[in-house]
Amino acid sequence: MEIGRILEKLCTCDGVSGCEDSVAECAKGFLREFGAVSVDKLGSVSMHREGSGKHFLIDAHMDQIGLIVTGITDDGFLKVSRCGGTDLRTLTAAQVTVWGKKPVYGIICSKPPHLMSDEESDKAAKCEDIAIDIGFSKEKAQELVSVGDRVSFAAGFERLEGDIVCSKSIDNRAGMAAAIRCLEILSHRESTAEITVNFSVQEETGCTGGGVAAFDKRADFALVTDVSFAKQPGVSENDSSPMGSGAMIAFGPVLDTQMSKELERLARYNKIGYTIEVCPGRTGTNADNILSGAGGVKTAVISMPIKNMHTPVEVVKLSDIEAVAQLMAEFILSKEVE
Amino acid sequence: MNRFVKPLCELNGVSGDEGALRKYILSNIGDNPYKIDNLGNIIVDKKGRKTPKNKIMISAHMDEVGFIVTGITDDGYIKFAPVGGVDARVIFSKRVRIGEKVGVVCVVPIHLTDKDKKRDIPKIKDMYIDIGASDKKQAQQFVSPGDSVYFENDFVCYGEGFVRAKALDDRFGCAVMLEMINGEIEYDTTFTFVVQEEVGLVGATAAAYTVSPDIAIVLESTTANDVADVEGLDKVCSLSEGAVISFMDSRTVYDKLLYDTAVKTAHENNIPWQTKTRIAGGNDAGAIQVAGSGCKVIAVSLPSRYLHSAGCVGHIDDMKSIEKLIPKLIEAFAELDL
Repeated sequence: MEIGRILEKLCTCDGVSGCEDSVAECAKGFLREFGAVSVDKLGSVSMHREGSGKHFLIDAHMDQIGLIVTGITDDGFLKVSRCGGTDLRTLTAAQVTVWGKKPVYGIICSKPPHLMSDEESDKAAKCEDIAIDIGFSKEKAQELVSVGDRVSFAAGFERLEGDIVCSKSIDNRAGMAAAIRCLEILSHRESTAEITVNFSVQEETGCTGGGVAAFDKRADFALVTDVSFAKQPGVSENDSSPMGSGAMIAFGPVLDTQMSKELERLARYNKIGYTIEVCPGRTGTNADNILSGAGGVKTAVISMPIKNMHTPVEVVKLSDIEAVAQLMAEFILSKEVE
Repeated sequence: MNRFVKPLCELNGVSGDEGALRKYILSNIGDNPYKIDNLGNIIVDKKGRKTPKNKIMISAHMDEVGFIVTGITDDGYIKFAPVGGVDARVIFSKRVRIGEKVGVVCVVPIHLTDKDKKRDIPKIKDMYIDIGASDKKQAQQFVSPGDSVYFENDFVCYGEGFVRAKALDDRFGCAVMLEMINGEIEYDTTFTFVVQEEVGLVGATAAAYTVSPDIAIVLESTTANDVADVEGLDKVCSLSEGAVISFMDSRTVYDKLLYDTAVKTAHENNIPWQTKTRIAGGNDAGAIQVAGSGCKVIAVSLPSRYLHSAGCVGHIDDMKSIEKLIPKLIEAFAELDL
């Protein structure tokens, strides 16, 4: 399937951390084509393909940032807290879906500019001052929504210029798309590799799912694919890679340097676009928990640059996802019989 | 709901760029005599069963708040300025349209933002729109300085009778007038669909001079702040509590006789009404009142939440109240001793 179609299907699903059911169902549909699918105790979805060669684990988290309902006011508005690193600045007047007994449409309340002081107008509201307008009385709201329900941005998938697309939750549906595309590439090549793909839960709330999902897989190599920062106004070149520059290969103390170097060599050899990303400590991805689990796993992180991370308008270039998929496939093909 | 509301809200017409509205309105006024003045205002003379003693004008504005392109950066981002009073907080991380192109307002990721600045909203002059162009030359193929920028168009009915739409301010007013023009009315009335309200009541100034009425009724949307954690008079006005009849706002002191007559008319006809509990906002009445040798003015408004954001919210019950009230006001004002 064209990578844009894969990404669109994944982005159209929702799965705020701890409530990943909808995206999990979609993920299973994609993975069944390539091997046996299972779900672990926390809810992460895995695909396993037997092979006589080395065992490779590809991890991509499937949860997304959002909000969680903490209360219902007397007027029927929903009070919320953040679920993951949601950017408060993006909430004002945003349209959302509340995952109650059925999906409920809502708008994040905002004061009109005519009624605001100057100090208020250039600050985002504090989380405790945020509420969602769902247009129901308290009684009706209570029938539909419960404390603990998740809230996601209602922001569709759209194509910008060329192969650049915009959506909510490209973090980390782009990583999932890269993993699925990698399996597709490998299915057309001769490969003896044993492969596990984990689409893990609850990364955004503390990298909970990835380590657990990896634990009993005992892979020889783990490839963690996630999103990282693209160059955009206000983001320094040092912190980012340009859109369209391909896969971002991470180097850093906790990662396996030999793997990172091999990925760089393979990218150069196969003419796959890449840049180097330096993670001076922990990576902030599932790699942190995967690499130290089960007695230690050699782990690399391969990312695609995205703009506007943790907003309803995350932007990615499809060719960068393709580069990540190809590079992971080349790595597996090159190391499977070593 | 009035059949014209949805199609009118779905058209784009930032102040000074109301052509699409003009075209739609002209194709929906039947055989009634009309003229288009030099500014683009549409003035429709509708015959009633009788000729009133007082010449009556009803006015609504066609334009909406939005943005205008001011330039393109070397790396292909669009710089823009607000047209009308748009709150910087509601545009940050939202989608927009420039012609046929989709764009997003960029956000420096929260991860790369200093801790003490995590709630700071940049000034609009420091924001960028990304259409996915790779450089200035590519962006210039699609976008030029002076182009209008619109909020994304989502017309949603939600909750119990709530409607969320771009430009409900003041397309609802236009819709009420179109319905009256297409029906039967008691007294001759002049309807004006005016341009450029949001940038300083420009169209109404010219139209009121041309029409030179004795009495003008301005149909508007006004600020309702009946959202979470707002009590009592701070709500200003509330949705589903009726047509808003104002006695004063920041721009206009409304005619006392017309105000009292309107309130009495609403009471006598059991039409839900309310007034604003804060002197805020302003509308075309301010310009119409002082055009030429002046006239008596009144404003009847749809209470609207989230005014001047990507989508304001009105209530179907209030729409009905206003549609019932306006024909009754024409009858009450026609023979009034001024």
